[in-house]
Amino acid sequence: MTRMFGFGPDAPPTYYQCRFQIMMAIYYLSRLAQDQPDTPETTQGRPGFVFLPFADPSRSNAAPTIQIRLPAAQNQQPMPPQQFGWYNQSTLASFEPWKKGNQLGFKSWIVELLPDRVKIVLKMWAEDDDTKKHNEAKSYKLLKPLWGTCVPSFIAEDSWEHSNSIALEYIEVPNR
Amino acid sequence: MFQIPVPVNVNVAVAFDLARGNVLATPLPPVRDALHTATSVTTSRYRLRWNRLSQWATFEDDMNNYFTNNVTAADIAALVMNFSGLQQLWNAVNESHIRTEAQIKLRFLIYVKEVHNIVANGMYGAPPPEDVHSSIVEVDSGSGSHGLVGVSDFALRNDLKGRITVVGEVKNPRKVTPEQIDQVIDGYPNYLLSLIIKEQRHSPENTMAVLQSSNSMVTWFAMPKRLASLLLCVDFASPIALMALSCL
Repeated sequence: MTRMFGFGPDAPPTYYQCRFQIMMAIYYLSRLAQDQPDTPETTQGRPGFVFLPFADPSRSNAAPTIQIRLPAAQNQQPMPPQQFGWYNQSTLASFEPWKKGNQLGFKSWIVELLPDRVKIVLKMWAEDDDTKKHNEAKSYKLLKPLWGTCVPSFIAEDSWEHSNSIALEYIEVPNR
Repeated sequence: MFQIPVPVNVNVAVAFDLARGNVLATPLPPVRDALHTATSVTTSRYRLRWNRLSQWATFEDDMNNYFTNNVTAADIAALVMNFSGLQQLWNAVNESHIRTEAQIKLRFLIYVKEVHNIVANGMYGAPPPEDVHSSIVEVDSGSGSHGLVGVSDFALRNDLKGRITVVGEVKNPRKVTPEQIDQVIDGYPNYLLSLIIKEQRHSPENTMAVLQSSNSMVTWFAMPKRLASLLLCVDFASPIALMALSCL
């Protein structure tokens, strides 16, 4: 983080003088950004995984910091996949929406669940309005007799305020 | 009967008359500080506090090294746009009244985004520089927009890889002051600034959500991939201020 620069001779002394112009600074930053590698959040060698908690969307109070959590219990016996109850104790292995192999259109991504590393589909809407999420979840529930045959099985929907995502069974369609 | 005038063919080659170096050295147009009609308080669910933050003390030296050793004389001298074009963009912002942060963002997109992308990315037929730059892109609808889930004011994008490299927020410089930035760097917690920093840290791609199925929580998290978050406090009036945040 830099101090705040003031550009130009009229800048008050509280600004740090910079002899370059702001467009030059942005030009430099856009070059710097271009080739930088990803910098994933890590546990820095500690066991567990990085957990990024939500901030409270209804208040402007202090947001949380990242947490390092221990992995889910490894001795848990998963229930048959058809029942999907075993998802209840699962955690996400990695959600990497920037990888093309994980992208399924504009709103959906492939993610994996731990501990069984099962692929599922995460569908997410960015808007605060949760109408679309509820409509989609309702539609999938009405189609429950067809889950796993004609339509993907519905796994879960979020219940957080302003959060709009659902999880669906991942079905791999072979290329013909 | 009204005779329709002959339309202008705007898609013709234009001889540029303004060099890249001159465009970059041009100060931003000033705006007027009107009565503020809204306060900007971030309540995004994506904000998250930085675990560690340190000063980027060599920023100006780094920039100097870049322009001295990396930017070629040919790139500086290359003609990239017309004076009249630059002047029109400049006039579109000049002396306009700013009441809200959204209006600052609009001016940023009109002038900074357009001029940067012409100079750095060869937009509108300008010869691109020898070194490749990320372009400034507008972020609007979230998940369909550049693969992001949240919405930031703008972003920088590696157009070759289709990868967002920086997320950016435009802030009102009258509400984010040099003293407040100093306090953050010097380790004094500042409520206003910490909010902004959280917003930057938890960039849209660092998205996470918590899903609930029956009575058990299914937790989702994401790894951030950002190089850096850039916080621009663009004061189009004098002094023009830039603050850059480096993500650790």
